[in-house]
Amino acid sequence: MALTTARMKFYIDAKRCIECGGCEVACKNENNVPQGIARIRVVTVNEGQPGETNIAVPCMHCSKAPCVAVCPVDALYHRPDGIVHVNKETCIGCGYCLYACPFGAPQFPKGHAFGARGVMDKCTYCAGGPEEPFSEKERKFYGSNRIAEGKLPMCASICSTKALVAGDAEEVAKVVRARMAARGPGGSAWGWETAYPPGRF
Amino acid sequence: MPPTMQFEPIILASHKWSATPHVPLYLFFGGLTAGLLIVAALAEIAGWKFPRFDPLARVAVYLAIPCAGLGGFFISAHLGKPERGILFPFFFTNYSSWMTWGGWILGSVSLIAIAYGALWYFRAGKGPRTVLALLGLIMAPLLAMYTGWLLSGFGTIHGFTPLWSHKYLPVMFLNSGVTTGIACAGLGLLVARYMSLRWPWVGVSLPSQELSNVLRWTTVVLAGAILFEAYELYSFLTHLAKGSPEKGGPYIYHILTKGDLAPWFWWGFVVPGLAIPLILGLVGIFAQARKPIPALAGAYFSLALIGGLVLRFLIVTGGDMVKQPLPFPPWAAVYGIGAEGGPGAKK
Repeated sequence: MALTTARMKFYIDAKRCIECGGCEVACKNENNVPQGIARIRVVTVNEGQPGETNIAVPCMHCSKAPCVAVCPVDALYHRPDGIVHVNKETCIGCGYCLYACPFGAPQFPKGHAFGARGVMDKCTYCAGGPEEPFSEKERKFYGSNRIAEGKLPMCASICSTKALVAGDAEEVAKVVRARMAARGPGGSAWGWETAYPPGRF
Repeated sequence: MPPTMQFEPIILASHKWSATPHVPLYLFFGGLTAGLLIVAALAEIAGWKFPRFDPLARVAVYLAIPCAGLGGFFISAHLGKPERGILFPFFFTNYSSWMTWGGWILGSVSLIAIAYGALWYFRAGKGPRTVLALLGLIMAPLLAMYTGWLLSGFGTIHGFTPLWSHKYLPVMFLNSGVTTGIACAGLGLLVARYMSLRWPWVGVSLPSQELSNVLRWTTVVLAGAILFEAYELYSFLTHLAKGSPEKGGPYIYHILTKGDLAPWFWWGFVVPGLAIPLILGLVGIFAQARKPIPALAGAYFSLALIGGLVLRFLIVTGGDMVKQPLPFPPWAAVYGIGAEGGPGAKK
């Protein structure tokens, strides 16, 4: 893997999401996501009440990911560019990461050994998996590898209101700063404090 | 209910541990194995001076072996790849995870139980048995407490699940393990003695007076453990009720005591698992002074066991029902995002 200093981040703008579901469909289509799995989900908060808001929730690829800390078999790990990957050949499907994750990102398709749960599946940041980039195995287990193609994740690329912004931390922070400056209080960078808290690098 | 509590829909119910009975059953059998080994060790030590406790040690360690096996079966069966869980020494490489430590703890305790049981089976001397009993006495509390650490281990990271408190759960599971261990050993002793009357090869032929004495001691210790468990439960519930609403403590307190889990909490755990055994225990202490009353002792032990089982289901299910939500609206973001390159970043 090429050396890189990039730290890939998601910025979820709770003020811009219109709940079109485009990110969910694009992700499913791009990555051949298994049935019953949603690597990104649009969640409605305070539904039917004043202040109803929608938030697209993918894996945030946290700076100090709790899922990485609790995985007993080291199936979860940080790539040098900050993307959190799961190795499906190592994962034992225990579900510990699901409880450690504040975003509910880990998913478990059913129908595997003893009928209890399969191995974990989650958002890959459209960066494939630990396999050879663009290989058949990578495509089958993890989906597409847009990062290796020099592209951004499909969900962020397709977002019509740019509520979901992805990319290098410096670039994403520029977007955040610009929107904060325009809006004043209530900038709505949802989940950032949890995913990328200060002093956790 | 605080409005932020509504933000809980992003985890599918079918993916949670409470969706199948495997994890609660593992926690129960893990605690039970630990409790049985503790009872066996204490009875073995007491047996040096009072040989009438030896049959209790023997029954307890014989029961600990299948319990450890059942615990191992249930935790492996809930995995997506059970074979990798069974071969944990080769696959569990992350020692910052409680699950890795748990694999080694459960594995060690199982081996100790098997070796200790084998010494009893082959009628080895009391010296070697006591050595293994002491080893078990060191490792067994770790097993019971680890089941609490496994859940509350998340507390050391962010503390998202208020019911899985790292402050209360390990001690509570240790206490419950001891309670169920005493109950199971007592019940096993009663059954084994009854079987010995029909089939002498079972070999638990305690005279009535001695059985009465052992049962009386067992009853006293179990009643003490139940009393302590009740106190712990009260402290834990008070802690939850007085906790910050934003962290979900009062919400899960409400669900447990008045909400969806209340029938199971009161009629599955508190009344049959704590209150009635406590009354039966106090009656038993006086009533069994001269001769054993198998029906009374049997009911006492069985109810304490049921209480321990329901407690594990309550803890896992309750933990799954309330997860601390992320702050919303994200006002904190205004005052500094704090990521690399963000407005709050440290240069």
